[in-house]
Amino acid sequence: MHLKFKNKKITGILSVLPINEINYLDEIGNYNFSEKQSIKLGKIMGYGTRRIVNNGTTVSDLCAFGLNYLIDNKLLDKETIGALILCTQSPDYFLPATSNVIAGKINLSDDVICMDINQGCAGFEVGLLQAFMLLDTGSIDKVVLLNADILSTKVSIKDRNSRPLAGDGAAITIIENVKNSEDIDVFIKMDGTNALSLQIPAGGFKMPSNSETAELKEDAAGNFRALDHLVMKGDEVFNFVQTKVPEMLNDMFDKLNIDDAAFDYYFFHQPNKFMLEKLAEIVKIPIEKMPNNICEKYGNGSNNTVPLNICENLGEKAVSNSYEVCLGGFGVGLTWSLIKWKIEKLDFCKIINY
Amino acid sequence: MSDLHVLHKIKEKPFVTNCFMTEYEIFDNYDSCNFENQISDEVFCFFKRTNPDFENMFFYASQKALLAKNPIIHNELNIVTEVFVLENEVEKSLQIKNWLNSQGNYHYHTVFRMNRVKQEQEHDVNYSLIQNPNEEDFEVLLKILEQNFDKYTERIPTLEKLKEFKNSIYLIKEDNQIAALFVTEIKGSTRFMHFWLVISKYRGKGYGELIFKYCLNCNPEIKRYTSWINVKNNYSIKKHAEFGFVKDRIINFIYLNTNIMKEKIIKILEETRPEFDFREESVNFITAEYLDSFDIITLVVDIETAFDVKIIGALILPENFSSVDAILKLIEISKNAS
Repeated sequence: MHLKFKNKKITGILSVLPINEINYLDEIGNYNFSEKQSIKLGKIMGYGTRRIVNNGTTVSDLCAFGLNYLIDNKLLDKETIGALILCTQSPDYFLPATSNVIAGKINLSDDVICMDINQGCAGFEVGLLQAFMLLDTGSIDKVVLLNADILSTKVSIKDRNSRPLAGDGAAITIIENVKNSEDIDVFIKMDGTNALSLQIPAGGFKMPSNSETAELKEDAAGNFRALDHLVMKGDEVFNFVQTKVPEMLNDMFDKLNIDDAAFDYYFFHQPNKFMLEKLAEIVKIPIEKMPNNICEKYGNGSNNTVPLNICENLGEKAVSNSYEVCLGGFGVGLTWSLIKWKIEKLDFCKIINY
Repeated sequence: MSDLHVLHKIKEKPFVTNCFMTEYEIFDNYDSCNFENQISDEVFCFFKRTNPDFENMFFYASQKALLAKNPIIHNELNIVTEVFVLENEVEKSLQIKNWLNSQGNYHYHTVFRMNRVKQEQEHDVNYSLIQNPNEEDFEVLLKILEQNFDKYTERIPTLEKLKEFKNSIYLIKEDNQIAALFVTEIKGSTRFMHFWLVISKYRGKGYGELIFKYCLNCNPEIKRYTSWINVKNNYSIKKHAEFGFVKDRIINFIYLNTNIMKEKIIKILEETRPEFDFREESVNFITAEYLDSFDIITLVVDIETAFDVKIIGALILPENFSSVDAILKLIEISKNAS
């Protein structure tokens, strides 16, 4: 699916990271593998430090903290907000929607539309798509997109496949209507036939959590996890990324009659260092144009990696400059998406600690 | 087994062979032949060192052995096997070919051209760009060869050997950097065309053709030009044909073994999961749960380093790591794609 939009601008991006930092090397003893093997794998995958929430901290806490920071610092006037979209896979509750909870926490007007979207690795792109559609109604001029996850709480501490990757955090992106001639091209695909390649089997209505689903069991590779934990078919997800994303990128180049030089940066989701390196090799994008430093420094925060990628690698530069960027998300769903857009002189682009 | 006993065995059975050495050559020249690697009563192998890293393999094998495809294990050195194909023994040659293929050998054609069979068009050709290497070029040259050719199958010479070829190595330089090269070796009145390469950023300037033509014309003493071409390298086959090369009818099957590559792969596998035996050929490493997806990731990185190749991301699939042969194939595909 290829969707075209116009007259939209990102005004600012704020990333909110929990201050609590974990180092992979400190956790190696938890895993059922030799230290040498784990260190080697860590170097390849980019397991370094990552930020995770303390017990009890929720997605709404991170988002409300960030929104209050923007409001207090006069970077956001809450009276101008028309809609609040939250993309998350770790909501505070099954019901109500966590976006409603956040709106309540910061006292938004009852004219603000709140909606939750269940998306992960492509959550930034899906959230932007929803924001564009709301802005196109003509009744809303400013949308606040929240991308937040705390999936570190849903990985087994004895699972070397998932635990060293999972980072937590939130990102707040302000999108507004403006008058300009820049096209925004959204490419998006979803493959429900492989929906369970990445999942948390228990805890929903299909398999409610109980003492059995909480029981740790060893897999063939020697990892221990329960049905309540996140699990992925690593090889399937890897192959999906290595085949579908290049296909979509080439399709984008063809349809828009551009080539890889059209972009200053490729801000892609960063599942792990190895996967992105291999993707960069296939699509022949120089690594300096496709930053690959988020997973190693902050962990894979699922929903928030792309905006965090922009904050980390552009930061203040995004306030004084404009950049042609290709945004890319791929993962759970399976969902994959690319957006061609120009980021023009933001009001803010920074990271704060929670 | 005594030498004489070996000879008797060979004489007793109707062996198929690529060996045309006399008894004297086989048994009285221990510097160049050895018998350590004879496998069974059905197969006798003789190895003759032809290069610091390579041995020629001569063998006698029974029909039964050829059909059974018994493996020849020789892990210390690379082996070159030349099969002499005789017109009236096509079927036997085919059996030998299948036998060598089944043991993981790369198949090369020998092509040759007699001098002046095809007169090159000399006008408008400027050979002044071409030079022999200087003393300081050799190390760079060796590095280029190692980066661009597979040292396990292409017989890359040592630095010393390369220096011996000095007068039959031709270079084209740009800004003092090697842009194109042709490493050849002259033995008697035959020129062996070993390594022909234009560095990728200098392609499209006609350097490849220029240097090739020069090699064919610069020395009137040379009567015969000969080269080995991987049968899968269609570009090279086509180019050689354009220059008048034809397949050698006598020696048209050259096999370069990949046992060293296999050994290297097994070593990497054993380092990844020391608890399993990766030498068991019947085991599927994936279904037997020897390897999981994260083992595969570390394997990819180790293989890339060991074989100087970039494994294509889309091919990082469990089935491509299910056996040593599957991994070998993956390396080959990735090399050809890069």
